[in-house]
Amino acid sequence: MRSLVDMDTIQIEITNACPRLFLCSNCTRMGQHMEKPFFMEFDQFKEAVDSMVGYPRMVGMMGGEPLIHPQFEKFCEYMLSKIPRERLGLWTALPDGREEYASIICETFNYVFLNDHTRGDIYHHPFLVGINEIVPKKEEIFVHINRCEFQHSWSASINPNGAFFCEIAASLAMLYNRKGWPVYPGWWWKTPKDFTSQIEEFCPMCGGSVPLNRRCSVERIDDISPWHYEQLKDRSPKIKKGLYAVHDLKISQCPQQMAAYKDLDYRDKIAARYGMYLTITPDGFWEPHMGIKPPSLMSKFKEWYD
Amino acid sequence: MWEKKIKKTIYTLAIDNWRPEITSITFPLFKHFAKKIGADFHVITKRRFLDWPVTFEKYQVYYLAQEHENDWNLFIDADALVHPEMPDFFQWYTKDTCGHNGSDPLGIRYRYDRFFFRDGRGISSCNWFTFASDWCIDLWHPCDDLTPEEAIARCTPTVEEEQTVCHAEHLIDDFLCSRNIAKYGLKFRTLMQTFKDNGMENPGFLWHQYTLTPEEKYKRMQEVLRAWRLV
Repeated sequence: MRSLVDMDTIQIEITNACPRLFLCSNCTRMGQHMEKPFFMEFDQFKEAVDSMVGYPRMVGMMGGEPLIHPQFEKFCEYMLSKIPRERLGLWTALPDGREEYASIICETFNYVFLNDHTRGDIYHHPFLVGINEIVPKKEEIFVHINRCEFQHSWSASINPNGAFFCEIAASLAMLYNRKGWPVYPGWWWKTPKDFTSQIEEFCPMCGGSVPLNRRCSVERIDDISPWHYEQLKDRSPKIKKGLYAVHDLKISQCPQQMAAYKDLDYRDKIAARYGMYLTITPDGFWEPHMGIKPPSLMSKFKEWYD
Repeated sequence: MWEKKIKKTIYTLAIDNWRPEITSITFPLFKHFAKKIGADFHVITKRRFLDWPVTFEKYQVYYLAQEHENDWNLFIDADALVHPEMPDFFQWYTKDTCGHNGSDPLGIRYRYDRFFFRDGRGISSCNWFTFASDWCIDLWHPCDDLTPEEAIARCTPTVEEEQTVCHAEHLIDDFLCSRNIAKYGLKFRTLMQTFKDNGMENPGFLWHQYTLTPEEKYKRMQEVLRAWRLV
């Protein structure tokens, strides 16, 4: 388990609504199982941003699709007034119809993380498969949980239900209407000893800490364990549409690689839809800029030496 | 300004247009390095040693180096990456010494014979990045005292190699290079050691992952290019 200050990012999730409704499989935000998406109120957002002032790493704005939040511009303006651009990141698919946000994105965020979930070679982990349904012994469950690769590589999160040590725990809290920590300045100083109650509440119902077969992200189907199915069957729009598979609770010996979309052009093509281009930052992330991408050094080499 | 020309050539191997998606990345970097250090660049494209596994074709350097009358020869595997900031390391070598980027202990992979016993240094070649002057051209002396089958039989891949894509027949170029170092008594110093001696420990100018499939390799190479901020 990592402390929150050891993470790359803490996310502020401003909505779980997404234009790709019912088009993805195993969405980490689980919004397709909720009758209505949430849109964070400005006051809540303000509280979240204020709480992150002084956080030494990146503060992310995430969804769902954050660009479809009706107050996106206002949120950007406020975020930038409180936290330096150098520490702000945006997770988006740059959806059609929001192209006018290109310049505010470039002005506000030093980092953008583009993934439009349209590729078949991206795999999504089935988080709605509880480890407590797969691993019978409680002590073994917590051995897995302690080694959870997502807690070690993904982010903590704030959503309308509070602050969470893990973004998947935050999604489960929205799905099952559970509360997180109060959002107050410096909450992010919490260390693993402070996570116990959230770990015990959320991790056993999550599949993140156990190796499971992953599903191609464009398959539309969610893998759901029997317990989750029982909880959600009468209210989940996605289950009602039949876009689910009840999981066989088998551990995978060889889970598929999560994201195989790291070829050179993929993100550039997405950015170009908004008249933007990306450069790599010294810390290995992507910075957005307006305009046409200047030739890379590699393309210059190819041109010079061909 | 007058400068005495030191004739250098960088060689690589891409028989029958091998993996153009990979060489489209690696060759511009090789050419850039060649330009930077004033070397020629030569791609070996045709087979010469038809009885041997294709990897043995890099031993054509023995003949090409003589034909090109080089002072220095450098062979780089076609799936390696060379950072644009890679310095001209030949300045740190004298002609009596050859080298590779790194080397391993010999007994891990190879069966000793009298040349190895007599030499005693136990140098196991990692010949994906190999260099030698005209004085040490025997580094690439084609094997004339073992059959391909005998050479392959003396190679035992590591567990990782055997479980991935690198089997005994893929190791014979390393084996025979190691054997030439021992057989001809070539002085040897790794480039890694040389960099360290010159204040650059693990500088990260080179990248080569030989246990990946070409598809995995291509993806990893793109990640490296991003990390190097070339794309």
